[in-house]
Amino acid sequence: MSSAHDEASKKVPAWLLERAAQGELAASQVDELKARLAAQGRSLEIELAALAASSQQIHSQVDKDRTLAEIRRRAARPAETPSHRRSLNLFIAPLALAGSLGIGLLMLRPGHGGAPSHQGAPIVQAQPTGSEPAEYVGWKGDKPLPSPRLWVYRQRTVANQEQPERLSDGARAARGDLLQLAYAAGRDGRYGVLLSIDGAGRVTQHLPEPGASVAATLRSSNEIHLPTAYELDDAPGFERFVLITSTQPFPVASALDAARSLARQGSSARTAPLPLSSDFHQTSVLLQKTSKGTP
Amino acid sequence: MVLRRCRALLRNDAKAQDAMQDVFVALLRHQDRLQDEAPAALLLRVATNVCLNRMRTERRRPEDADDEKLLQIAGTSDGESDGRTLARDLLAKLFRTDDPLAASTQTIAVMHLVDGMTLEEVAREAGLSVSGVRKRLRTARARLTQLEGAVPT
Repeated sequence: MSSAHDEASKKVPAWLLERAAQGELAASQVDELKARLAAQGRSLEIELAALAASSQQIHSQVDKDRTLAEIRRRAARPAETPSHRRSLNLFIAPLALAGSLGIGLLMLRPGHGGAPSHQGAPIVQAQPTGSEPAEYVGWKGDKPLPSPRLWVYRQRTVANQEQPERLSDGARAARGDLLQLAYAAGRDGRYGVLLSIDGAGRVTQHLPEPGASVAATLRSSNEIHLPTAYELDDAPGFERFVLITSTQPFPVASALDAARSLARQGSSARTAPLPLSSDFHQTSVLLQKTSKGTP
Repeated sequence: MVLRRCRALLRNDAKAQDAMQDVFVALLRHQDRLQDEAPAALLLRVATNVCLNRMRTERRRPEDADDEKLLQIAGTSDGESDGRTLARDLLAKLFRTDDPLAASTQTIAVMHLVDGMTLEEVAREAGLSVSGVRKRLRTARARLTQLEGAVPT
C-alpha cells in the first residue's frame, strides 16, 4: 500500500482545487497548491479554468428542474422524516455556492425561486424570481390582492400521488402533517414576518430565515410559496400561523417578541392579535390539533 | 463540484447523479446542524461519505487501484445498513456534535490515500492535528490490512 500511497500523494488533489475555485483556501494554501502544480508543469489558473468549463458542461447536461424536483421529493418523503417538529427549509448556506456546484442549486435558495416542495401541485407555475426573498408561484388568472393573505397547505397522498390541500382557518391537523406555507403580500405588505405559535407556547419563525434581523421584503405578486415543508409536532391544542406585514422595514425581533408575549397568554394565542401597533397588518390561520390522523 | 466528486468516486454517471441528489437531501435534512464555514469542503465531505456508503452497499468490483482503495475504505464500516451509516456519519462526523473529535476516518482516508492530500492538508480539511490525522490513518490502515487479509484481492 505504501507504494500506491506514494504514487497517490503525487497527485494534485481535486478536493483542494475545488475549494480553491470557491475561494475557500487561505492564501498560504493557495501558494502551496500553486507550487505543487508548478512542480508538475501546471498552473492554478488553467486548472480553475478547466473546472469552470466542466461546470458549464455539467450545467448544460443536467436537467436542472428535474434534479431539483427529485431532491425535494426525497427530502420531503414523509416516511423518512422524524416524528418531531421538523423544518425542511430549503435555504442552507452550502447551497449558496457559485455555479460550480454542477447544477443550478441556487434555485433551492429563497430568493432564487423554484418549484414548491410538494409534488403534483395543480397549475402552479414558477416565475422568474430574480433576487426575491421567497419562491413565487402564480396561480393562473389571479389578480393582485388588496391586503396580505396567508395560506397553509397540507401534503396529502391521494391514489399514491402527493397533492396539496389548502387548509381553512380552524381546520383540523395532526402531528406529522406536512405543511407548506404561502402568502400574498398584497399592495401594502411590502415587508413581512411569518411565524407560528403553538399550544405549547413555542414561537417558530418561518420568514425571513432564522438569523435575519429585518423583516423579509415581500413580492407584491399573488401567491408566494415558501420553499419549506413544515412538519407538525405533538404540541397540544393548536398551531397558529401569523403573517405580520408593514409598508416599512421592521425588526424581526419586534414580531417575535410580540408573538412570545401572546404565546404566554394561553388560549388567547389562538385568536388574539399580536400586541403590535396599528402600523402592522396581521393575518393568521389557526389549525386545531387533533390527536389522531388527518380526517 | 458535487457531481464531479461523485463521478470521480463512483465512476458511473447515472449513479453519480443519483448520489449527488442524496448529498443535497442529506444537507437539507440536517441543515440545522450545518456550519456555514467552508461550504465547499462540507459538500465534498458529504459527497465522499454518500459515495462510500453506496460503494459499500453495492460491493462493486474495482476497476483500478484507486477503486480498490475506495472499496476497502468503504468496507471499514461494513455491517451497517446504508441509511444508518449515512445518518451516523453525517450527524456524528460531519456536523456539530458533542464529540468534535469524531471526524470521519473514512473521509480522511480517502483524502489521503485516494485524493493524494498531504497529512497537513488533511489535517486542515478535517480540523485535526497532523498527529490526530496520523492516528486515524493508522486505524484505517489497520482495518484495511485486516480486510486485505480476510478478503483476497
